[in-house]
Parts: sequence; C-alpha cells; structure tokens
Amino acid sequence: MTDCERMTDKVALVLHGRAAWTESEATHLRGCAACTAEWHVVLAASRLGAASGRRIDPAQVSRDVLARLEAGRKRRNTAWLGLAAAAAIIVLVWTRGPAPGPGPESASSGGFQLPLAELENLDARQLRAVLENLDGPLGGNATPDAPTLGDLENQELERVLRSLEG
Amino acid sequence: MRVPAASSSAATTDADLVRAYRGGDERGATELVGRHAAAIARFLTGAGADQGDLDDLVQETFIRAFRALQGWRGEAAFRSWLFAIASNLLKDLHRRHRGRQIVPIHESGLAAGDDPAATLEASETERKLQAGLGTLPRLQREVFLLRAQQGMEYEEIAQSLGTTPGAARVHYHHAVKRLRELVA
Repeated sequence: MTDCERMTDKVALVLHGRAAWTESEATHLRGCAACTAEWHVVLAASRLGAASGRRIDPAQVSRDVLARLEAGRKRRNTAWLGLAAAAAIIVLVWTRGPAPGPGPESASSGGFQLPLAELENLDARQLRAVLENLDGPLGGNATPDAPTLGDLENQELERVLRSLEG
Repeated sequence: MRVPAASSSAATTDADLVRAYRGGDERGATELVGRHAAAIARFLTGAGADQGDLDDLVQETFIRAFRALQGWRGEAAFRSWLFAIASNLLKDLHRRHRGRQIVPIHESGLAAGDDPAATLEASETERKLQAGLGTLPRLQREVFLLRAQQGMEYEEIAQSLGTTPGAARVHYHHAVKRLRELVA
C-alpha cells in the first residue's frame, strides 16, 4: 500500500476527529498535491448538506413521526376489532344452527294467537258465532285492497243501501 | 423502562433509548430523532434528494425504523441502520422518478469563515462536488458520503449499505479519485 492510499483511508477519520496524523503523514500531506486536493474534497463533503441539516426541526419531525405511528396503531386496532366482531358473528351463527321452520308443532304452539281468555265460558252456539266472525278479514270488513264506498257506482251504492234496510 | 432524567446526555446510548421506546416511553423516540435527524438530512441531501422531498424522507426514515425495531440487531449502530433505511428510501424514490435529474443544490451560509473570497471558493468547491457526486454510481456515492460526510468506519458503512468492508473501501477510493479530478 502506498503512502497516498494510506492517506486516503485516514483523511475522513482525521477530519472527524476519529484519528490524528502522525509526523510523517503530516509531512507527506504538505508535500503531496494529490493528497492535499483530496483533503479539500473530503473537507467540502463534510460540509455538504449542512444547511439542510440545520433546516430540519427535530422536535417537529419527532411530533409528526409519533403522530403517524399512533394513527397507524389505531388503524390496526380498528381492523382487529372488525375482524374479531366478524369472527364472533360467524361463531354465533355456526353454533346456533339453522332457524326453526314452521312445522306442525310450531303451528299449534307458536304463531298468532287471539286474546280470547273468556272462550272457555262460551257455549257451543256462541263459539260458532265467534268462528264465523273470524272467517271475515281481521280488523274489520275492509282490507287495504277492498273497495271502499267511494269506489262504488251509484247503482251499487243503491244496492248496498237496500241491503242494509233489509 | 423510563428514559433517565439526563436522557440527552451521551451516557444514554441509542440502545437504551430504543429499549425505552419499546417499553412505551415516547421520549425515547423523541431523543433518537433529536440525535440523528440532522445527519440523515445531510446524508440524503448529499446523496441527491430533492429539497422538496427532504422532510418527508427524514420522517419516513424514522417511521420505518420505529415500526421495525424488532429487526434492529443491536450490534449495528442505530445510526447505521437509519442510513440503511434512508438509502433504500432514496433508491425507491429515484426508481419511481426515474429520469428525474439529481439537481445540485446551492447551500447558503457555507462555513468558510468571514472571508468572502474563501466563502466563494468553498461554495464553488461544494457546487462542483455536488455535481460530481451526481455522476457517481449510487453505491460509490453513498459510501463516499458516509465516510467523508459522517466519518464512518468501513465496517459501519458496510453494515449500512449491505456490502463488505473491503468493497466499501474500494468504492470509497474510486469515488475519491473521481471527485478529486472533478473538483480540481
């Protein structure tokens, strides 16, 4: 290895205070144009970007970095919660099995029941009368699709009036 | 682990701060950013980062570092690891903006003393140097910057840039020779 090669390896370290010239190296540097030029190149490089380094505000960078990391954590937590909820729903549906269909039992025990607690006190004739009323539409004579009086022609209205009068 | 009261002292190592942050103390992260942000910005500038991208690149370097702390092997210096991340980010950015030229920046306030002539000469040298760096292959350029600008040993450079110390030394010698010719 030549003296100049050794100098090349050492210039940056001396410039950054990590090494020092020996007597002979200092002498070589003063007399060698190539090594002197190299010294100036490395010196310029050590200053390169100094203004950029000064312009950076570490406190601001730190705040931004921590805020972004926190936002990322929240996003991940939300995603996990969503996955956990979806998994819980799947497990629930899976363990409960299919919903019971309308079978013979459910027809008798479930379904719509009229509030007729006093039916037990009625005699056969009265019960028949109740059944006859049940045959008609629930909630009165009219159904949403049934024609109202306003839909009838005059002749029809006359017939209705006549039937009411007997 | 809590960051000791004298967290800004050199006695608190980067490894201590990393442990503090991983233990939930955000001051560990704040201190690490405070220690290394300027060096990362200077490295990225020298490596050709556009000044408009600089803040984002520095920020992204730390975001990636903190998100991947489990990947940091304590034997490598934390700063070396940051340079590795910054280098990869810049490489990705240049790949995305392929064809965009590396624009030499003019730095104001060069520390060359009060002598206007000396300041002008330093400014001219730096301008040539920045232009010369733009002509070097990426690895040569980054090896040179880590050595000349940051004063790193070849072993540290090799860890940062994913090469060997011997290769880093060769890259550095090539870069110095080329830049000496360009700046002279």
